[in-house]
Amino acid sequence: MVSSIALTEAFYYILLSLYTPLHGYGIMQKTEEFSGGRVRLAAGTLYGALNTLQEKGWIEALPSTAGSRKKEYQITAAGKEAVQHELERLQELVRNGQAVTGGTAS
Amino acid sequence: MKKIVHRVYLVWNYEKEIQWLNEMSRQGWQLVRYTPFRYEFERGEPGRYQYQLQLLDKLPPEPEYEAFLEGAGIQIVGRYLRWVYLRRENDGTPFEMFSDLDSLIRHIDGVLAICAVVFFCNLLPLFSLLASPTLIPLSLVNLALALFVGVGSLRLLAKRRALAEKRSMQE
Repeated sequence: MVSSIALTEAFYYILLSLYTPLHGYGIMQKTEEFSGGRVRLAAGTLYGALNTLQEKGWIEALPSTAGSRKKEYQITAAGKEAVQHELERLQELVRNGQAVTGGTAS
Repeated sequence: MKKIVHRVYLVWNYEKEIQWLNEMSRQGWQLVRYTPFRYEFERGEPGRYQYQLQLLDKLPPEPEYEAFLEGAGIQIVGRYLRWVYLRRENDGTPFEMFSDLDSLIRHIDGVLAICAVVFFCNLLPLFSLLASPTLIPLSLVNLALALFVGVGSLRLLAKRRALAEKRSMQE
């Protein structure tokens, strides 16, 4: 079961990055790309987050190809479910924000 | 050209240690190897490398993490217990090991835990003072050490508190 917890930006973008398999540096680049350079994942933070996500079963390491020391990761079904919950939560935040301020998402 | 520096690394001053290594780099001295108390610098292009220190969760450091760092262009130049000395080529952006408040606070907690152990281990002999007066000189040395660590850790504690306060409102 995925409880409705608020994901941090780092976790959210890591999960989004892993809809296609990537290794550590690839996740850093993808996250920067997603956020237009606003969110930068430092190596220590990313490594810790990858371990946490693996323990939760939200991502998995792919079997490493011969000769490569770089590990690739990929999101799992449970991870996708977590992203879906987060998306609903974010939409609620935006919806309420817009309704109260009368503003658009800009 | 090489330069060897002998120096004691004080754990609670780890940020100063990082500053020192980066300052050396700016002056054209790049740390290429570190073993406890011994720093080996090589003459090179000023500011070519950026340095960082990290306290790892486990001892010894996992080879998997080393490979992970390598993939991100980060090299391990030395180890000291659970500490690793890291460097990467200066790409003009700040070199940090932690990019969010949670992981930053967790890292500081690890450093503070070490400080606490050193502090209390040096505080314990104080009780022997009560048992045998002949041990007084020795316990005073320990007491001085405990004070040294304690005062040194205060700045780190203050920083941790400020970060935790920030974390209560933002990520």
